[in-house]
Parts: sequence; C-alpha cells; structure tokens
Amino acid sequence: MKPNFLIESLTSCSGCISTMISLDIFPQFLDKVNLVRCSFMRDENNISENDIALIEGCVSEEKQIDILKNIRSKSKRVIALGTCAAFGGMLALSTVKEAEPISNYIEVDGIIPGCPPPSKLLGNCIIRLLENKEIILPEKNVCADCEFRTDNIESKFMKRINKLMPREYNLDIENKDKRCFLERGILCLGPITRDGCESKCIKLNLPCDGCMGPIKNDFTSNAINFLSTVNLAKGLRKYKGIFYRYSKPKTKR
Amino acid sequence: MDIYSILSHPFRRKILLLLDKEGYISYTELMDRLGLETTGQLNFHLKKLGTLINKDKKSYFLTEDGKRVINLMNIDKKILAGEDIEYLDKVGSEINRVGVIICKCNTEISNLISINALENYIKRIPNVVAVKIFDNLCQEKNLEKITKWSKDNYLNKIVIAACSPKTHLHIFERIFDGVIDKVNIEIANIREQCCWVHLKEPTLALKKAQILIEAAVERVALQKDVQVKTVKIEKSCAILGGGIAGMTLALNLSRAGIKVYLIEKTPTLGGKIARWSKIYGMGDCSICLMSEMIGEVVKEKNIEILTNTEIEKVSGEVGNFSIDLVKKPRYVDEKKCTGCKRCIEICSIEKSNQYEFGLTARKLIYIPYVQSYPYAPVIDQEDIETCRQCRICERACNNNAIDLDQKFEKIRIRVGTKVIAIGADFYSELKPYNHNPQNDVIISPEFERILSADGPTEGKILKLSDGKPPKSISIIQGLGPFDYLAEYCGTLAIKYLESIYSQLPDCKINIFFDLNKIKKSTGFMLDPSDERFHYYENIEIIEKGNKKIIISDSEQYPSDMIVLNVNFVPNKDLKELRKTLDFTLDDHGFMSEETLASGIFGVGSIKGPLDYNSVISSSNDVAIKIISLLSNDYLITEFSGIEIKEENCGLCGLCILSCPYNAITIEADKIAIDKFKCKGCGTCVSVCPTNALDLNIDTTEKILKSIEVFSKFNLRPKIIAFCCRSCGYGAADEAGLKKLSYNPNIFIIKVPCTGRVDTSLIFKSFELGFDGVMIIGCRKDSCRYINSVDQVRQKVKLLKEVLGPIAENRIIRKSLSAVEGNKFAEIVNSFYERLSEEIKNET
Repeated sequence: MKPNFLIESLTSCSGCISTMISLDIFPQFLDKVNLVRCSFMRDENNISENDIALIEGCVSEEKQIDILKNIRSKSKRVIALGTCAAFGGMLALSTVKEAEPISNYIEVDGIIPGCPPPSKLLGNCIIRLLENKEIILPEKNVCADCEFRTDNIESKFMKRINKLMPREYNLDIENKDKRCFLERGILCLGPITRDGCESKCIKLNLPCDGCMGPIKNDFTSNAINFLSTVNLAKGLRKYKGIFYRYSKPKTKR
Repeated sequence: MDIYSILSHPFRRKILLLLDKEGYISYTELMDRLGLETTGQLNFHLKKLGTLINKDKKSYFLTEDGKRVINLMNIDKKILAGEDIEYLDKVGSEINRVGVIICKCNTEISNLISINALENYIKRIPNVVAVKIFDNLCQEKNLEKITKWSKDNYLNKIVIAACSPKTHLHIFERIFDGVIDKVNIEIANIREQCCWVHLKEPTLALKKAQILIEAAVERVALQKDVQVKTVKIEKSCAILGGGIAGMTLALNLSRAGIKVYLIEKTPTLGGKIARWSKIYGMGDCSICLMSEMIGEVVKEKNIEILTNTEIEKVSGEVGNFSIDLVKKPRYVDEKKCTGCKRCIEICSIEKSNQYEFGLTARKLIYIPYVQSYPYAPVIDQEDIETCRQCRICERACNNNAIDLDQKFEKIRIRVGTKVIAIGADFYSELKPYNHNPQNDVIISPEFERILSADGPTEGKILKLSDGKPPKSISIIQGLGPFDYLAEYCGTLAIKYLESIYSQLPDCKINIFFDLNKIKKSTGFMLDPSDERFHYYENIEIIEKGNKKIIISDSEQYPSDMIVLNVNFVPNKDLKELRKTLDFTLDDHGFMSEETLASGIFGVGSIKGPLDYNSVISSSNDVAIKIISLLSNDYLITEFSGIEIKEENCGLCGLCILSCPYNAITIEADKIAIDKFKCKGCGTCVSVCPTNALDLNIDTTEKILKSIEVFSKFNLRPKIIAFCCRSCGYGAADEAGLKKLSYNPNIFIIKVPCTGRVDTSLIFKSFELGFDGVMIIGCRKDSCRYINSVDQVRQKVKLLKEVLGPIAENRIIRKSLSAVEGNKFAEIVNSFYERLSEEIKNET
C-alpha cells in the first residue's frame, strides 16, 4: 500500500519544490508514493485524504488559511517544506505583504528548513518520511561544521562588525581569507542558524545569512540576543533586513 | 505499610531498584543479580516486599505502590547509603506528587481572600495530591507537622503559598532536609506580592493568588533532580611569591596544620621589603624584621620553600589542583655550599646588581644580599653561557658545590588552593624627569637603598655623584598613572622626612605634590601651613651647569638631590600568570577581588599599593578564608547553575563571550564549565542559540510555563515583570512590606539575574497576550553578577531600535535596589497608566 502524499504551494518562489524534483531520488519517490495533489505540477481542485502533506511557501492571503485548515483536517502529518513555510521566509522583509509560517494557523508535525532546503538534508528527510519516521534535523549551529571556526573566542568577537559582505575582489575562492567572518568584522549569522547546509555559502566565501532558520526561539530574538552581545556597528543596527530576514516575530493574534 | 522497615535491608532496596531499572526480572535472574545461594533468603525478602511487587507468569515487576516507593527512595537519600548510590544519579523522576501548603498568616492573608475558594481551585490543578492549611505555618510546632504530613502523603515536591521566599525559604529547606530536595520546594509569594499590595481589590487578589499558586505547582512539577558534586580536598596550599605577604600567609597556614608550598621566582625569599630601610610607623629596620621572619618560615616543618621556581601549568578545580612547577637551575648545590664566597671573590666579570636597583655592581656569581635565604651563591640564567666558557669558579670551589651543567627540574604538587602574592612593580617611565642616579636624580627604591645600612652608602645620605651630603633634597610625589595612590605616597614622604631630618638637620627639604591628583583622591588632605610642602600643577626639572633646579608653576627650587617618589604599578608578570591561573584584573590592571571563589586568592600589593600593616592584615584575612576552605574533608556543592548538553553545542562561543565569570571554556572541541566559578546568573543561556545550555533550577521551560499560566489572567492591560532575585524581587517584596498598593494586573517572574532575560521571552510574553514587559534588575554598578545587567540593557536597547515605537512604550527596564519598594509601586502604576492609554488608542 503506497502512502498518499500531498504537495501544496502557498506564496513561494517554488524553489523548494524545484529542489525536490531535481533530487536524484525523486523518480524512486514517485514510484513509491501515490501523489494525490501537487499543484506545482498539475491543476487540481479537490483536497483528498492523505498520509503526509508537504507544504511550501508562506501564508500571505486570507484564502490560504482555509486551504491550510482543509489540508490539516485531511492529513495525518503536515510537514513545512522550506523556510517560508517553516518561519515565514524572505517575504518577511516586505512591508506590504504579510508572510507568516503555516504553524501560525495549523499544527505542524515537522519542518524541513532551508531556502531552498539543502538537497542532502531534503533527500534524507524524504526517505525518513517514506519510512514513516520522524524527521531528524541537526541540533547544532552552522559554526559546528564551519571550516573557518576559531576557538579563540577573544579574537573572534573582538572586531567591530561593520560589513555585510566581504569586498568584491575577495570573492576569489582560491585565495580566500581563511579567518572566521566575525573575526574579519563581517556579519555572519552562522552562530544563530541551524546546521545542515554543510556551510555551503561560507565555503564560497559568503557569510551565512541564516536561511536555515533558528534552532530554538525565533529568528529575530536570536538575532537580537546575538548582535547585542557582539560589537555591532551603528550603521548595521539600523539595517532591519538583518533582523527580519527570514521571519518576523510572532505577535498576538 | 511501614515503608522504612521494608527499605531497611539493602537486598530489598536492590530488588526494587533493579526492577525499576529493568522492568521485568525472573526469579533465577534475581538470584544471580543479588548473588544469593539459597532460595529461602530471596523468598523471605520477596515476601517482605509485599504489595510493592507483583509477579506474572515468569517474572517480577513493580506495582504502582512500588513505583511510588522508588520515587520516594530517590528523594530520601539517607535511606540509600552505600552500594546503591549509583542508581541515585539518574536524571529526573517521572512521578510528581506535589503537596500545597497554604498559610493564612494570622488572618493577614485569609482576611482578604477566601481560603476555601483558593483550596478548591488548587485541588483541581494536575499533580496536586494534597492540600493543607495552616493558620501560622512558621511556628515551630507546625513545621514539625508538615514534614510528617509530606511523608504520610508520599510527597516529593512541595509548594508553600505564604510569604516571600526571602523570609522563610531557608527554614523550609532546613526542615525538609532529607525528606524533600530543596530544589523541589517552591514558594508562591501570595503575601508580599499579592495580598498586601492589592488590599483594595479582594476578588482580583484571589484570582491572582490562584494563578500564582498554579504557576508554582507547574514550575515545581518541571523540576528535575540536581546532581551533587563532591571533591576531596587536598589540605595544602601553593603560595606564589616569597615576600612579606606570602611569608606571613605561609606562617599562618602552616601553624594551622596546612602544608604550604612557598614558590618564589627569584633565588631568595624576602621580596621587595627586604631592600627597604625602615618600616613606616614601626621604626624597625626592615631587613632585621625580614631575616627574623625568614628564620621562622625556614623553621616551620609544614612549609616547603621552592626558590628560583615558576609555575608552568595548572589543572584541576577548587580543593584539588595539580600544579606543574619548573625549578630553574641555581648552578650551585645549596646542600654542599658552605657560603665561603670563594667563588665570588675569584669571579672577574661584573654587572649591575638588580638587588641594589643598579646602584652598585656585582659579580656574575653572587649572593643577592647578606640576609638572603637560601644563603648560597647563584648564577642568573642569562649569564650561564658566559660562565660556561670560564668555569673558574667551578675549579675554585673546595666543596664541588658548583655545577654549571645543572638542568631544569620539574616538580608536580597537589594543592587545595593557591595564592598569588607576587607584589607590584614600580612606575618606570621616568624620562621626562631626567632620572639618573649618577646625577642625583633618583627614584624612591634607590633612596631606600641609600637610607639602608647595607646599601651603597652604608645608610648615610650622600650624593652618589660626589659622595658629599646634600644641602637640599626635593621629593616629587606620586609619579605614575594613578591618582588613588596619594595616601600611600604621603606616608612614604613622612618616612623620608623623618629619616632625612635625623641625619641632616640642616638639609632643606621640599616636597612637591601634584595638585591634579590630590584633587581626585579623597584620602589625602592638603597642609598649606607647612612651608616645605608645595602643590604644583606643572613641574619640570632643568639642569644649569652642575646644578639641578625644579621649576614648579614658575617658581624655582634648586636641589642637590631629587627623589622621585614612584607609584606602584601592576606587576608585569600578572598578564603572563593569567594564562595559567584564572583571575581577573581591575581597571588599573591590579588583581580584582571577584575571583576568590575559583580557588585563587591574592594577598599583598598585587591588589594595589599597600603599606606594611595593611599587607599583614590582608594576609591574615586571607589565611582565615583558606583555613576555613581547607578545614573540610570534602567540598560538596549542590550545583545550581548551568547544565551543558554537548551534543547540541556548535562551539560558536557566544556563551564564553557573555559569561561574567569566565566559567565556560572550549577545550579540545568540547565545551566545559567550571562549576565552582559558575554563579548561575544564566546570562549565557540568554545568548545560546541552540539548546546546549540551560540553568538547572531556573530552567527556560519553567519560565515559559510561568508566562503561560500567568496569561490566564484575563484583564487588560497585563504586565509581566522579570525581576532579578536579589534586587528587583526584593524591591517588589519591599513594596508589599510597606503595604503600598499597585495594580493587580502585574505578574512577577523571578529570574536569577535580569541577564537571563532574552528577547524570545519578551516576544513570548507579547505573543501570549501581555501588553507590557518590565525588567527590574540591579543598579549598573552593583549588579550581583558583575556586568550581566548591562547585557540585558544592550538587548533591550537593540530590541527597541529594531521594533521601533511599539516596543518603546511597551518594554521598560529599570534598576532598583532591594529597598526601593515605593519606586517599584510607582513604576508599576505609571506603566499601567501608560499601557491603558495605549490600549485605548488601539481601539
């Protein structure tokens, strides 16, 4: 008996589902499941009973809430796919549109974070879902696997953080500076971001911008806790993009 | 069922513990496990266990009663002595049996709220198994009753709804000792923070009391067992520095029966004071006093003197340190040497003598000074290559005591605590003052040598340039970077005045004080009546021909000899020592007081300039502290602080950055905490972005649960207040004691320090429907946890910048001292007004 899967896209760039489709295990996945609905691939009106619902994208319109509630009532497990569904995502930066995680409206049984989720993590999660097991996410932060991590804490946090990016000519991967970004005065959100991406950006000489989302609490409060402890330059304190990049704090409804 | 008699036999305890651990065990396996040979014995014990165990077809298992007893055994550690201890450390007990005691407080509480209504509400809270009401709980006879009551009801956790924990918590901890763990006693403060401050609103006060008690029950139900740490105390002490402070302390400790390792970097005991002429106020020449003291130290059996020795590595914790020492070669065998000085006479190379501050020369092989201990020649490490090319002294020694190929020696000692007594250095940037002893511009240590009977002039005040007595001496006071040392320099000047006057009554003396420094220091008074004292704002020393003239604020004072009275500055070795020994420095670079709990003490001028008497008295003080620490056999701490889950830690280091006590370290890709340094402020928890850190008593879970329960109160505007346990909570209690009235819509959460409050707790409060958040902590300069209160200030500041005007009006952070109850009430009332206004505007 194949498990019934449902894949729904809310407000999103479809990056998560594209990543999923491009996984090497996706053909086997299709063989093993009965895909009852996948609005990205085919038009579908009705929402039927299913075992696992994967939802990508954030909630930004009223009607999406009804869809969500409908899905919840017909699914055994609901999984938030990608950072938008899990935390709100990039749209949280917008001042016009609301961007809320689906967990603000329905109960969620698990999240697969990332913008888009790293293929290795996503593949592993999907295999576990097929086996009807709980999703396992790394419980450490990006620093844990970072090749530039320094254990010299004094030098790590001494410099004033006044840059968002390394200078352009430093993008040369071959001759990159092998020091921790924070040590160089460049804002890296690795400490407050969940591991699982194998620090891909950092390997490309780009600081972590927190797409994997927080491990505990919410992104904004972690960012404030972190950046109030380190020496953050005045210019960056006003730069709200840092604090709302992938989610806005949940407020009273 | 007499549970204690069942548990009296170790076999029966073991049976229960085994069943608890493994669930089902068959009869034959039990025989094996207990190591019994005959079935009769086992049958007897199984029968004795009665209703606690049951048997299905094959194996035995615990009944509900049995599980409850197991739970009780975890609590009552005294029953479980000996071999079963290993089972005791298992984390957390599944079963919560919470008892609630309500105290009417002699009608203080019951007059306002209905105790019956309170009782009915509490009985419906999950986990509560028993409720008891007392008229006056704190009376001795009632205290006896509650222990019996809690035993009879098999309680493992207890909530006491009464007065503030500051009043009677310690009494409850004492009487429940051995019955209920003190971490499992929670107090619902329904007197100071509810009844007494809401006298005008009895219905709301009742509702609030109900919620306060419910939150306390929920909190105590979440409490897990706290592990106990035991360290065997090594009854010995390492003292670094063999000066006056180190030796006084060593004598004190050794006479109390403590083994002392007196470690001195230089080849001789005595320190700086041995080179001084006299001790101010004693009239005694200091070398006489020192040699007497050295004699006493040498005589003590408990003191092991290690000269020429430095610390290489320190490991361990308070009560049990292991220290690796390196003993530098002396190149002379102290045991063989007779002190004949033949080697010194024959040595042909000279260099300046550091023990005379460079005023005279000495040979490469030398004895520091006549009274030095050990009294044997020494060759400095830096000269040994030169000496190895000559080796004339080696041949000259009749006793074969000299060995120029002596090696470094490694010594390992185990001590319970360690003391730093390495003293201070002198201010050395003297270029602007033309410091030159050959031209009679000398610093105070050099003047001390001139005054000393064993000095270059044999104690006569003579000019070093031509050997004639000076006709005028000028003393410039307080050279150095600090202004708070004026007092010390003052006594020094008086000492010099006396010494000069006794030798050269006709000598003209001028003493110059820096007016800027005196203004800043409170310890020294101006004395304008004495014409020898001059107060300057600018000072300059110029030379005209062979005459020296001091120009002080455009007035000229010709002087034959100028003494620069230099200040103490922090010892330059302190920075190096910090790598091996863990202590903090104050703003001036001296050792700060804050690190005593980590097993390090400091005595003498390492903490700032001190005169002789202060050094002696501070050494005596520290001796008492050390004796009291080392007088126990074991150091037992029920640790309340941080618990680390290594598997969640990504080693980002934010906790290390925020810890005020440097208690957290990363070693070999692992995070570790020094449980003796950690004071449990929780500042690290507030920044940890993973679930790796949490406090073990004031857990995040408990704080969140409290917020959740408090949000049940459904009147707006609702305020949540995070109060630090020393000041903020105290101020709230104080408001109650004064019976000041404030609005009941405020709920107080006690946190160890406001540094624990992180942004997510504030967001969570808003999310759960609170309208305002108050953070009440200590004053900035008197935070109990050094700078933690500053860290929450930074967080709130950034939060307000990010959220903008919404947060500006809804979050307030104030500093109060524990006696400012009226201010607390004022803040609550004005905040309430402001929030009411906000809500009105909203709708």
